[in-house]
Parts: sequence; structure tokens; C-alpha cells
Amino acid sequence: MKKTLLKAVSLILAVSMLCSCTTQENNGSSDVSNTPEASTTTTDSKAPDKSEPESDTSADDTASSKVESTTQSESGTTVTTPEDDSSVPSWKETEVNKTMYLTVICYSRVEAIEGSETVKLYDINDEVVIVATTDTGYSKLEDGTFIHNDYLSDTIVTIETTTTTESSFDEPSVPDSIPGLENYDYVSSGHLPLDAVLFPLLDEITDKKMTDEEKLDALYAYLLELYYAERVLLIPQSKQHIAEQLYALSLFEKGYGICYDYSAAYTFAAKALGFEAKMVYGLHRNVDVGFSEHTWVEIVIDGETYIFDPSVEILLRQDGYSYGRKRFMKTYEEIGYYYSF
Amino acid sequence: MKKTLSIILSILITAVCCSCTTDNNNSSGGTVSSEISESTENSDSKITTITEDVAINSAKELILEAEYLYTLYFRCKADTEEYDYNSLAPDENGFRYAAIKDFNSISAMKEETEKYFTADYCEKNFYKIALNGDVPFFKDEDGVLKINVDAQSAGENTWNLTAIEILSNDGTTAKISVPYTDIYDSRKRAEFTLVLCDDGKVKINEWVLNLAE
Repeated sequence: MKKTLLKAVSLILAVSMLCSCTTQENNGSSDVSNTPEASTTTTDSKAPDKSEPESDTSADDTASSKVESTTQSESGTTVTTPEDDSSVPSWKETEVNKTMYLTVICYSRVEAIEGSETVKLYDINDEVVIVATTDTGYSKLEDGTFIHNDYLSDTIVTIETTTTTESSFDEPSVPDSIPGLENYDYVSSGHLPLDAVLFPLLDEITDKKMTDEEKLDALYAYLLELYYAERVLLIPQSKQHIAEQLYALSLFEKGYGICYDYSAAYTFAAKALGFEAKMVYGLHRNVDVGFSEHTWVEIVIDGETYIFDPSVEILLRQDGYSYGRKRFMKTYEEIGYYYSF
Repeated sequence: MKKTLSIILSILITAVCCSCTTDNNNSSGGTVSSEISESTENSDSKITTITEDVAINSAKELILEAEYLYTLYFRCKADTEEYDYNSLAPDENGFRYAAIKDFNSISAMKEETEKYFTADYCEKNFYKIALNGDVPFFKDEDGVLKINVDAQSAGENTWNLTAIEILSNDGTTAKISVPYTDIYDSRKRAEFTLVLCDDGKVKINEWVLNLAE
């Protein structure tokens, strides 16, 4: 009997030790990847576990309302076990409160375990608030979802040799309505997340007493304060029909972008105010020689078509060619030399 | 806030901590010889010291390749085999990938990249952005390297390689300034840090764009 008992205890101990080792490995991995290097401006270089983010869920997946049971210890450590699936291992959470940044394009997940259901697609350098870390190598976000520690950094990723090019994403799911938007008297862009950013901005920088030209100038001035920089925007095929809205949203959210973003932003802002505006795809004559692919904005006012080109205006200002309005409300007769189709 | 961060990013300097540098390469087994002043400009020979000529000539060779790799990794653009992109089936995330002409695998692409950039730089910048995450720019599929064709970007820099200026040089690490123009001929300047690696090759270990001319 004693011998049997001894064997049973040994077995339990062996299994416990094995589990403990596995957990330790997870912790070790995330510790390494999240250690910022001293006196550098880059983030950690630990490559995320390629096996981790494999998921076959679509970008339109939304969070499930999975029930979890949570117990909290005095030390601030929480043990969480999904109640509806006893086969899923639990994880321990340790409360923290810090801001971190995404180092890659990745999904947040419903649970702090590998292969868990995806919730929301995050972009590189997206800022997230971490409320807890788990012993499975994940960080818990404010919305209760999890992102693997390998994908998070204390500092912003210095992308593309420290210029500001970034990849960008639309939200994976688009809401049917956004509370409060019905209070605005602007024309919708057809993409509610853009409206939600644009409408309050229009309230802020324009007012009804302004003339049409003053409103357009206020919009133009706002965009000139943003920053021209290359970026990569990843737009899934299913969202190509709202690509222009996503360009505009990218600029408003990030504060920088390329001509596509500026033109789209100005177009939808002008449209929201009731102007007949459209984004134009063509060529721009360079300062020295040749043409480059370019987009700008045309607005028809009293039957006359005017060019508005905030991105080139920014570059002209940068190079010391302009501090006024060289590409604001100009006809093709005036500056058509620079534009071609 | 984002704007400020963006501006700050454009002037920050990336880390210099590759195994090729003089500071930490003793432990990796290789050292950089800085005692012999003799050098060669032939890229096939082993360079022993970065002289002024070596820095200038290396820069001319490296920068042209750097522009190509920049486009590949950060603009997500490459020549693809003839494809009607509309006929490509999107993957589980909704993105389409087309076979590229220049490389047939990620490892081949990496090997080429590391001829011009230090491995450390590549890992922290190129690979992190383009190869990791849920939506990588590139995919290795059945011996074919494919690129995400739903990535949209715009940009092209033209380098003035006749106006390279050496800012500093200690024989193993040289910092140079190179003027360039962007897609709209807007004038800018970049700073490169070139390091002499164990194999006697000069590589880029740091790169800052968008500086005022």
C-alpha cells in the first residue's frame, strides 16, 4: 500500500515539475523579448514565435463573449479559467498598468493561450494599455483581450531606418452605427469610423459663419500641420471598395501620410461640408524633371473646377518654396502645368 | 502627439549593436583590425580599414542596393510574375500574394539583404516589419516567394552619390551624409553608418532618412 502511495506521489510530483518547466519557458521567452536595449532607439529584436499567431479566422471576426471565472489573490495575481471549456488550461494574471506598442501586425485574442480565437487586428506601433500579464506569455489589454508579449514593446518601433513609414490597417469589423454621429449635420463618407473622426474635427475647425472659402482654407490649414511621410497601408481585398476612406482615416489617426491620404482626407472633409469634391488620380510634374504618380483634389464651386493639393503644398513649404497657398483653390489655367493625366 | 512621435522617429538613430562593430565583436570571435591602414576599394577583397575612399566607394555601392531593399521591405513592392491580381485568391486574412521574380525564398532574400546590411540591422528593421506578424509582406509557399499585393505605398528616392560627405570615421565605423530627392523631388538628406565587419566587408548598420538638407 505504502509503495503504491509512494508511486502515486512521485507521479504527481513529476507531472507538476514538467508543467512548471513549461511555464518557465514561456516566461523566459517573453522576458527576453521585452527587454529594451539600453541606449538604443530600436525595440527588442526577438522574433515572435512564428507558430503562435497562426489563425484561420477572418479579419471580420469579432470577440466572442466567453465566460471566464476569475479569482484574485492578495498579491494581485489572478487565476483565470474559461468556464465553458475545461480542456483549456488556465493562466495566472499579474496586474500591471503600462502603455506598450505593437511591434508587428497581429491580432488580439480572446484567451491568453496559443491558437485562441482572434478579436481585433492591430497595426505596428499601435498603442495599447496593458492591465495584466499572464504566465502564458501574454499581456491583457483593457478590453480583456490578450496579445502575446513577443509582439509588444515598451517603445515605438523605429521602422524603415527610423523614418516614419508604417503599415496600417482598417479595423477588422465595421460597426453598423456609432452613437453620437446622428447629432452631426455633415455628409457621411460612407465609412462610419471615418465619420467618427472627421465630424468632431469639422466642428472644431470650422463654423457656420465662415464663408465657403474660409471653411476650405481651415481644412487645408489643418492638413498642412500634419506630416508628409511614406507609409504602407495593407487593405484586404474585401475592403478595397472603401480604400479612399481608409487612406483618409489613416492620415487622421496617424498624423502623417502620403498624397493618397491627404487627398482622400481633404475630399471627404470637403464632401462632409457639402462641397462637390473628388479625389483625382494622375501625374505631377516634378520640380526638376519628369512626372510622378500623384493624387490631388478637385472641387467644383459655382461651376468652376479648382485644384486643392495639400500634400504638394507641404513639400513645397518644406523645401522653402512656399509659405502661402500655392496649391489652394487654383484653376487648371493657373497651375495646370504641374498636373497631367 | 502622433505627429510629434512621427517627427521624433524621423530623426532618431537606430541602434548600433551588431556583432560587426568594434565594441562587442570580441566575444563573437572576430575582431576588426584598425591597425593596418592599407585598404582596398575592391569589393571582393577584404577591407582592413575604412579609409575615406573606402567609405565613399562603399557608400556608392551600398546605397543603390539599399534603395532597392528599402522598396522591397518597407514599400512592399517587387517585380512579380505576370499575374492578374484579381484572379488571385485572398488568404485567410483577405490578402492576396503574388510570386516575385528576384528571389525564390525568404532565406535567399535574407542572404542577399545581409550582403549590404548587418544582420542585426536586418533583424531589427527589415525582418521585423516585413516577415513577422499575422499579415506578413512575404510568404514562402511551395518553393516560391510571394509578396502581398494588397499593400499600398508610394515613394522613390533618388540619391546624389556625387555629394557624399563623410561626417566621421574611426577606421571601423564611418558616418556619412548623402543628399537625395523623394518622389516629388523634395530635397532631403540621409545619414548612414557604415561598419567594417569580420569578413572584411563594409555594411550599413544604421540609416536615418528624412533629414533636412
